[in-house]
Amino acid sequence: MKRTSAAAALGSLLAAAPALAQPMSYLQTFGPAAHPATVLGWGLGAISLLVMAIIAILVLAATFRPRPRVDPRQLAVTRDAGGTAWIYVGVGLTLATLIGCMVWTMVALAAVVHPPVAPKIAIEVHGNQWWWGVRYRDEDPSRMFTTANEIHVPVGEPVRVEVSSSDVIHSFWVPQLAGKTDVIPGQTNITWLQADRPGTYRGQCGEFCGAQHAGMAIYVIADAPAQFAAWRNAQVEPAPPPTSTAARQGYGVFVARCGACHTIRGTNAGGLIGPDLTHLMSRHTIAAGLLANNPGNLAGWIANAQALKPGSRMPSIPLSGPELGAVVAYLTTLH
Amino acid sequence: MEHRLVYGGIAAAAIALAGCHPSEGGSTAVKPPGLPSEGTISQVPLSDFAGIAMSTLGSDIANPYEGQPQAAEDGKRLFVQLNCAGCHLYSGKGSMGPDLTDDFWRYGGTPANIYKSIYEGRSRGMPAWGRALPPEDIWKLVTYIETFGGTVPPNRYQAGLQGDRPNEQVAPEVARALAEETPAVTGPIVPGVPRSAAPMQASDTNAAEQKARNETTNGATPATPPVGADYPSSQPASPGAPSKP
Amino acid sequence: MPDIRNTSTHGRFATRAFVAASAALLAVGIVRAQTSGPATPSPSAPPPATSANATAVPGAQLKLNFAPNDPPGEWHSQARDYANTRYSPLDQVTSKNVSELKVAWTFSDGTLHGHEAAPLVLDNTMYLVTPYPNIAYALDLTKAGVPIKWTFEPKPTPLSTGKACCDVVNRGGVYVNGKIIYNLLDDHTVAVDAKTGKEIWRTKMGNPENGETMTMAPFAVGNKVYVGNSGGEMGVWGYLAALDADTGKELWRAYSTGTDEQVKIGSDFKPFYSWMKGKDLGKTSWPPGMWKHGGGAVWTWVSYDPDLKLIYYGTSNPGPRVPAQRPGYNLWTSTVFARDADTGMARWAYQFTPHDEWDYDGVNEDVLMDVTIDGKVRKVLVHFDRNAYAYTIDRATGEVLVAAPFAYLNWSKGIDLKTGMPIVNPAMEPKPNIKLQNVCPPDIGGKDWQPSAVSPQTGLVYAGIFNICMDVTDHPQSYIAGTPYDGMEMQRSPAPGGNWGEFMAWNPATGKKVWSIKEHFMTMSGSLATAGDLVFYGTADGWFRAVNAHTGAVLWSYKLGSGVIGQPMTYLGPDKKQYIAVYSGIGGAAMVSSKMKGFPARGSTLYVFSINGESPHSGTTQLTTEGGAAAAEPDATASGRH
Repeated sequence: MKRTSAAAALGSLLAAAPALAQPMSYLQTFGPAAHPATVLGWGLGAISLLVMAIIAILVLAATFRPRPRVDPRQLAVTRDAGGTAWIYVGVGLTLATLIGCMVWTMVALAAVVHPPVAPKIAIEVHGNQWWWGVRYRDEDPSRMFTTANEIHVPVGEPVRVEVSSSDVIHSFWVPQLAGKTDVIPGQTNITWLQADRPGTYRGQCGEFCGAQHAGMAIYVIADAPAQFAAWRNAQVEPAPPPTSTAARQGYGVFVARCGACHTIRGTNAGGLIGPDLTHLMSRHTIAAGLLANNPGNLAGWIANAQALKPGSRMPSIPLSGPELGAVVAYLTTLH
Repeated sequence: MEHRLVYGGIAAAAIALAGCHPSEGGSTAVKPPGLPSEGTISQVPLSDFAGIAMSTLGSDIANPYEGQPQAAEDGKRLFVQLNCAGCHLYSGKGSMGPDLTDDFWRYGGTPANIYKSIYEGRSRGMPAWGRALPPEDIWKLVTYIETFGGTVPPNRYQAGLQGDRPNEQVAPEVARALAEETPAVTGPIVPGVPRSAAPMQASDTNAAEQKARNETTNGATPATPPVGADYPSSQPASPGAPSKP
Repeated sequence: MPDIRNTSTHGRFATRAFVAASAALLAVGIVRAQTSGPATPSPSAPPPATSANATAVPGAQLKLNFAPNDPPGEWHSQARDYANTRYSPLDQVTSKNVSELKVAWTFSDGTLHGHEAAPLVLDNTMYLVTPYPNIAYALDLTKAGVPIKWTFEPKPTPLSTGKACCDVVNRGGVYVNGKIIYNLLDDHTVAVDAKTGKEIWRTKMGNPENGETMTMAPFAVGNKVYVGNSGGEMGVWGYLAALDADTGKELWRAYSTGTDEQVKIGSDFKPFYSWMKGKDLGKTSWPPGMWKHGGGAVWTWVSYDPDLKLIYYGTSNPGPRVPAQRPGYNLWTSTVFARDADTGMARWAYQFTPHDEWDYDGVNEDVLMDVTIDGKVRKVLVHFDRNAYAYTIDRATGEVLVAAPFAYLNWSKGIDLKTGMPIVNPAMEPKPNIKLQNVCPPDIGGKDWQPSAVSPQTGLVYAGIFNICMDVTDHPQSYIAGTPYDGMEMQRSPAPGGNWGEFMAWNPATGKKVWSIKEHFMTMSGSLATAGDLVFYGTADGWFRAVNAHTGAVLWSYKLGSGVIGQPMTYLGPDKKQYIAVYSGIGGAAMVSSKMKGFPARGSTLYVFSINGESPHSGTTQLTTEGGAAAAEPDATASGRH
């Protein structure tokens, strides 16, 4: 009862953010990379509560136990019989419980470290201040592609994630799917995740990394296998060439003003400083989860990124009204 | 009872969150104190004014990131990421593009001149970055280029145009003519604010400055550089170290 | 560990024995560590020749492929002939009298960038093409003073000077049907009337704003002229195109990356090795979209077999020069193509360095000759690649017959002749942002574009090569059009031996170096072989040498005004005397060694030599010049060493 109302309240608080994600709670997890640990957590919690209850009852019983009247003229101390049995029982139960918990913990740890089967999908995740670059690997180089801030995985399949950083230490954390993995410059750390239920899972940088540490979200979207394959095939394609007049104008403005930092595959824009935008409109959010991905927010972000995400590496770009409209017209064709 | 608890919790959270406001930019955000307007920079000429240089535009504009190590670091990152190193080399010594570490500058070596060259591009293949980069990024690149040790302080803008070098003598006739013709460079440099013209002191031939210059070129670094510091010492600064303390 | 406090005899003995044994083991360990030493690269042992019966070819059996009907005293194209032999049948200057060679006359063309071209001579006229600004001169060899007949100033845009990676050079012109045809730095091919110097046509082949330039010498077969672009370091889309020599119209263009249609691969395409078989490999061997800026520029030499009717040429390195950004074989970069000379359709291809990680372009010349291997005469091409392997390849099928190192290398342990693949040394594969030391050869290779020459009298191929290594750090690169798409940070230094250059004679049948001359400075000039048993070459510090083609003995050395990176040639003057000409003017990629002590200043002078310096252009009376035109006055703004 309590929990569902609290969840509803939490959900309404998050209404400002894209209202499609599960709340970022690690109390309820959806994949084998995290589930054993969550169950362990609840289990240990329950055992602790039980132990607490037992101890509380014993202490209360001991405190309020009826005592025989004592003649003040007699010795106060009398030999008490039968107490040591409690000690043996208590120590024995405690030992058994602790050993049991230890074994359970080891098993859970072992379960989350390695995926049950070798993952067929490998992703590289690059932490940058303050966004996530994502690169899908493949044996066939012509099926590799780069995207940003949003990962798609097939439901029920483990995915290998290799994390590295371009600048400072971040932490890759999608709480409903896996624990935190630090993202350290000069080093590649390897983790995995698996989503057993379709849906959108929000993650976040879990290691303070600067001014916009709080603005560095990542979304993991679990699709049915057929949907995932379709998404992946679409991502491999280059951006479609612009057709409308406004889009063509916007394309010209984009390559000149934005191409030094952003890549759109199939065009002359090949910058690596900012996120890859080839299939920008296939993503649900922009600015690493800060804003919903729609034309209004796009325009606002381009014109005034520093007001929306102060300190971020995206500058506010002083475009004229028509130029801004044209660029947004072009960007909204990038499905 | 549960509902009251929940609503109370929400109220508390709302009050707590109301105290938050977006950060103004943290330690990793390097905000310049104030950027010179592009209009000002576009007026800095590449050459001398007809009628002998009477303008101080080239010397008025300072690098807003002057001496900030973080800005130099950011500039170094941009220097590699934007392919500058491809033409000017990672050492700055240049192959396709000119050497940025020496004290010879085709288009002027003050921060404002270097900003202009990056912003406008140059006819022999230097791309025009002005539309592709925000002003802060160009100033950060200027800051990094300053760490190579070959750039010219703004108040030596005129001297740079005239080909002056440290340790040179100025014939008395010439010093007198310059004093009559050229406004003095005095006072602190404020970005974007033109300095008032004043008759030139003999500051260029000032004995103390000359001595300091001698010391610098002989390799001994003065404890505190004189105000309106001279050309950097003849030993090039190591890349990554700001040229001024 | 025995208890050292034990004072019993037995205990003491055990202690001492233990200590002695430990000391012995320690000593052995130290000695072995010394002898195995730090990781000094050792050259891979040259793999054996394919057959134990491969023999040095007696001169008479070596068949070369001359251009038909060219008079022996003339020079119509940079390589002299279709086979790229750079061999002249002139024999007035021989190993006996070459020591009497002296300067007959000189000509300064007024430009100070690297001079890589050879003059052309026909109809008693000498034709020169300069580096940027690509002026063309015609000099009258019949008149005293070799006056200028005409000057042609095409005035290419200065923007292009900022897009050329390795100096604003030009590798020369070609004579076709009364026209001198050559490329301008700013991506135009131009045809000039050889008699009048007037422009006949100019064709725009590319856009310098994309970082593309043109530096190569066009190659002509019949009425077709083949041209390609430069810019493997600038993320260009490399190509070879065929133009009609009379009109300048582009007939076809074969790109070096992309779909089969773009690369002009069709049903006739039969590569010999498996990794080049498949559909659209020029696209699928790259991450999506990267083939479009993948390099594969065609910036040096083309050769032609008139019997097979195939042209041969190589493509440049892939871009960016950071291999981690482009997994895959990156076809068709670092590749030699054999194409139908008429249609341009590919017949076969061989990729010298699949997934190149070190900037080993495949562009060096393919010299066509017939060589006896295993008792059989094979029609081959001989190619000294940037990757320091010398290849002898069957030019009909693309089968590699011999692949042997000709210069110091450690990036590979050999070429597997069964698969055609190099066996890459994993320790020499650069990873981003990590400095890798002592990788050999460096980006400029064991040999760069400087072309070799072959002598039918000796059966040997002669080439200037390098002995250099590099420390390299890769930095991932953005693609920004018009800026470098590169990413290699390098420091170069000489390989063991300390010499930067070497001039060698090579046996293409056995894959062995027959003799070599070590040079302190880079040997980046072309080679010239003559019927007088001589081979000529020049050094980066300005020595021009004549060498006995059989023995490698240096017979004559002459110091020129600047370094030599041009191609020497020889011709018969109107007086029927033999002259030898070479440009001096350092620049080009030789500037990587520009800080060496003794490195020369820039120059612009053509030197022409004859026995005793005799020529109609010097004498004991007052000689005067009757010119037809004045020299050009190029924009001579000093630009330093670039």
